[in-house]
Amino acid sequence: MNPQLYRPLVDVLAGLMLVSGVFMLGRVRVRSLLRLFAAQSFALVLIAASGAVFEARWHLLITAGLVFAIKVVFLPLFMVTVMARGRVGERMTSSMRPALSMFIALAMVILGFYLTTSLIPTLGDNFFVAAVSISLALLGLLMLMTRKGLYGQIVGFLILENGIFTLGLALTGGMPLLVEVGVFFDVTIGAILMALLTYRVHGETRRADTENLETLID
Amino acid sequence: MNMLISTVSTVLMLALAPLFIGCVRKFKAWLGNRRGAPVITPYRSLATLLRKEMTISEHASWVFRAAPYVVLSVAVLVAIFVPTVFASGSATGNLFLVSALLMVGAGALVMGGMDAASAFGGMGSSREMTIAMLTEPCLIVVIAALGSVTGLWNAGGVVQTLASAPWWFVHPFLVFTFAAFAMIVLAEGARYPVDNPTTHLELTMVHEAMVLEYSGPYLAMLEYASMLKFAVLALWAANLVVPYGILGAGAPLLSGVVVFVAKFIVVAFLTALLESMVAKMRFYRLQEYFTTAYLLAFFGLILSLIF
Amino acid sequence: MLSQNAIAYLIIIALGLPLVAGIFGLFGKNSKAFNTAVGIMNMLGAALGACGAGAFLFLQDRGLFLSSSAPLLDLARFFPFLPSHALSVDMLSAYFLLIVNVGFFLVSWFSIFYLPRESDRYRFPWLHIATALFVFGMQLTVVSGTPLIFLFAWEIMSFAAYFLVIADRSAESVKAGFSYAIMTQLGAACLIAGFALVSRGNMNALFLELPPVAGAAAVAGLILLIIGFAAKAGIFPFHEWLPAAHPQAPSSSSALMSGVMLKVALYGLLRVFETVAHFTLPLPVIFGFLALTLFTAFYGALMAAVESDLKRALAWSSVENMGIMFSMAGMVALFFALGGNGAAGAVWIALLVFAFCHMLFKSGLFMASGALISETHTRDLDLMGGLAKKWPVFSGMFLALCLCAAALPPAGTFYSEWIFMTTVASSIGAGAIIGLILTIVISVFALAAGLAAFAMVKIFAGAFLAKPRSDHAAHVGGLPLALYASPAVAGVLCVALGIFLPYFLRGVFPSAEGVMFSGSALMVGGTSFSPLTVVLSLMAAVAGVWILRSVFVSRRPRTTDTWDCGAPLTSRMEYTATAFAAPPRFFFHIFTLPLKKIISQPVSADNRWIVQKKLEHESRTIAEAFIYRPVARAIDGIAGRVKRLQSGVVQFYLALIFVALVVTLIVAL
Repeated sequence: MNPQLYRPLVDVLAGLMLVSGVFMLGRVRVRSLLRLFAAQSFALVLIAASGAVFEARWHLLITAGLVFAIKVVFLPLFMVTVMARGRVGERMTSSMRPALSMFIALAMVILGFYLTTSLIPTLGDNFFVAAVSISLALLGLLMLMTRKGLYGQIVGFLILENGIFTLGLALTGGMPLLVEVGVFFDVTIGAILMALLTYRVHGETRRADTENLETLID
Repeated sequence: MNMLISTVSTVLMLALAPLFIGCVRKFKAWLGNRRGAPVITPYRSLATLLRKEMTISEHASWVFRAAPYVVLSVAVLVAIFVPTVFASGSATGNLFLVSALLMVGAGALVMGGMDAASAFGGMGSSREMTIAMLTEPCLIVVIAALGSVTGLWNAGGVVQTLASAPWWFVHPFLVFTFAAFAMIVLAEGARYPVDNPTTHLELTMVHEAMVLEYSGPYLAMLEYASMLKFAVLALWAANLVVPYGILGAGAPLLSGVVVFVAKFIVVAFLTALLESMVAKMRFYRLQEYFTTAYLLAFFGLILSLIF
Repeated sequence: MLSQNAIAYLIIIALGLPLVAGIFGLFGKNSKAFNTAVGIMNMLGAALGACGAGAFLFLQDRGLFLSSSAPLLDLARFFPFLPSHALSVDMLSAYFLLIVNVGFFLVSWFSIFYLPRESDRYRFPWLHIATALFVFGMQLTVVSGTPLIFLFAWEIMSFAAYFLVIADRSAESVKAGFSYAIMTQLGAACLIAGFALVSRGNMNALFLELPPVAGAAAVAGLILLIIGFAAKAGIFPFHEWLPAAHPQAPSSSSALMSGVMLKVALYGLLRVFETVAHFTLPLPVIFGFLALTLFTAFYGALMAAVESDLKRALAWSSVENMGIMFSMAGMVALFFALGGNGAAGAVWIALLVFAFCHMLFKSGLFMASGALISETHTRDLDLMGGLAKKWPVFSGMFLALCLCAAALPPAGTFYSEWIFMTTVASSIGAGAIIGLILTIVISVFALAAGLAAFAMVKIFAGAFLAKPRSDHAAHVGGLPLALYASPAVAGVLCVALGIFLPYFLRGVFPSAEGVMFSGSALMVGGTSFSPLTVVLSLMAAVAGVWILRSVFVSRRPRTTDTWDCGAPLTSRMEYTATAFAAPPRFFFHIFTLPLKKIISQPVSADNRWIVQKKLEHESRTIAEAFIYRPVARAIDGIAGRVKRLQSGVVQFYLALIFVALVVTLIVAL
């Protein structure tokens, strides 16, 4: 394979991740959100795989496999199932209208790119991917902040994690395998727990958002 | 020689104190268009008291019995330390010591008054202790003014130094200090406007209430101590204001005696005049009296620093 | 006579023996024999320490102030793990070591007889070990040579004192102990910060070698140190804990705390003035310090005058005395700043004498009140009375102690105040502004002294005179001499110190300027009198009067009833201590803030003029009303507003994280 293709390929995939992230902020229905998330994670898988193939870092294949198994296949299916079982509403609530959310998402992207410009000397070629990762992190946080439904918050957290993982992949050629595995486990368990919590909260309060959790303070 | 002069001065003062009070009462009677009792009446009352039987309350303890001794001893010591007839410069007459001794005497009398378990005694004691406490800062500032002007801290020395130059030219601000000291002497001597020495209404008494339970010789001791204290302080105040012709300060004997007798009579008259003109102040307004005395003394001292 | 080594051994044994005694006492439960043994060991240690310190002071000529040529006794050479001179004794240390040891001797003597009477209220092992640590901390503080050891010992002392305060485990004691703990830790924090600033971070430097105060940081450190010592000594506005905590401790411990621990705070202040500031404090600091301490003296005396709980009144009196001592220290600094070294030396001597006398009379008073309270079972002066008849000797001794506390001749306190007042009054002519300040100083001083005399007379009158005001007081038993022998000795020592003051001063400060001694006379600034003469004349006058009375009067007195206008007198009709103090409470009502409520309720349905009246009388303190509560309310308000951040809404917390992240990125990148 032509090593020259690596850079543009990664850039394109990163761009796809970014676009899907921005779109995710505007989704209201759980299924469409999870589909976009799966797509974004698939792009991540391809980044990892291309890194493995082009730069001969073969442990990245294992990473790619893990990401595929968990983020593309398992988590979205799991969450949809729990949602169907619990008969949680398919529409999530947010503090802002979808259009406004997307607008702010774009602003976040611009902010992320602006912040990364001061890192150009150290990044060199990796500028775009780094900028995309930081933007994804900010997008994830934004989603965490604005979504009221617990599913929205889970996905926001997962986007945040995606962004950080991409940054790691781009800058350092992947973290040590053990660390990656550990992080994966963390994220997975976290997501499972949150989904179950949603089920429980819904069972208790008939709502799937965090409003009633306010009364838990002392 | 100094010792002889001091002894004679003290003995004279001890002897003349009741006469002084007698003169005050006589003048007050004259001012009230009465004839008044003879001036030697205080001597007679003291003698009568000495002869009477003493009754002591069953609730009184040794404090009640010891108080008259302490009060009289303090008064005698004050008479020794504060020379009035002759001005001697004995260093033991330190003014701070004299003010502390006055406080000791007041404290002893106060405790004697409390000990008899009567309400009047307690009332008089409480008031007297408050007066003693309020007099303290005024007296200290007066002493500080006198000391910083004359450079000496004993009673006789101050008078002698003031005699060397007319103070109304050299230190005119001392008029404030003397006015404050006059107010203090009235308070210490239990005269108007602080206290009424001739009242028979218990609620208007301060000194009289404390000695209410005493009788016979103890009462004689206390009465005499009060007379002595007032006479000594008043005559010493007169010596401060008019420090001339005092025996022992370079004046011949005859003129010294005449001046002393003149001061004796004038001070008695002024006291009687004051008592006829003002009414006794309500006790709970006494802070105004003492604040005035303090401010006068303070002014005197501050002005002395400026001039 | 005593070599340097011998003195060092004596002091080290005095340091260690109380600890041994305390540990020994841990095993005794409430046994009387153990208590006696511990007391005897303590007395022995204290006696040895007093001998050592006294030998150091009297047998060698020491300068008035620490100087580079003054001989220092290095104790640290006996402990190889300590750097040289880390523990050292100089004139100031030896003087205060003497104070601590004499105080401890008297108190341990007292506690041998006092504690068994209170064995149902206290657990002795607790008291013994706490006292041992307390005294160890105090002695170590006084001999420490570096800030680090000073702070270490200070904390031991404060910590042990807390356990003494809560010793009877009642709710009031725990509350007082809490207030004490807060104030003492606040003070310790100020001390640590102050020492760190002043020593430029090197807390292992010797006090002697600390650099002089220069620059804003060092001045701030100095101010923090002053605040720290003021908080421990009970200077306004850090005084509220003292009248709460000192009465709650057992009386022997109250005597130690009030008589000795406060002196250690004074020692700390003097040490800082001497070695850190080298007596050159900035004038605004001196003026602020003087203003606060003089106000403390006045306020403490006033509150002592209006307080009707015996031990609380004594504690307020301690506040006043500490105000007086600290203001004397401020005057020393002021005189040095103005160039009057002789006057400064005179005031320094007055201060040291006052400190010694205060230890004697305050511990004596607390011990005596402990003995009193153990018989009357009440601390309220309004419920005592009639005790002078039952206990004539004890009341005489208590009167002597009150005389010392009121600073009246012939007690030693009077002479120290006399030296102070004469020095200040002599210096008034030095200039207009200075004269103004000195006049104000001397007037406040005199007012505080007057109020203190009032307070002492009130305490004595309320406790001992008139008829007993309650059943407990009416049915007290006898008081064994052994119990009040120790306070009696304290009173005698205080009066003796006054009478023989010139000899004492000549022994300790042979080369002092400003205060001179010739024969038996004290001379300050050109005026002199002899305390011995004063006492002799007083005694002669009393003897003379008595002789005259015996000669002229021969009839025996007859015992009757008090004049009662015909109606029988009960003890409810006589003046109580609260009533006695009504005039000052009224005259100074802006400080005493009395609150009187008369609530009248109609009792009968058909006659509304028949009412039942209830009087509620409450005294607040200005520090609590105007300083502590507003500060507490402000902190509460701020905390309440900050609490709104804790809304419980998850998104809000996340938004905070988001904002923090963005800000960090912007700043970092």
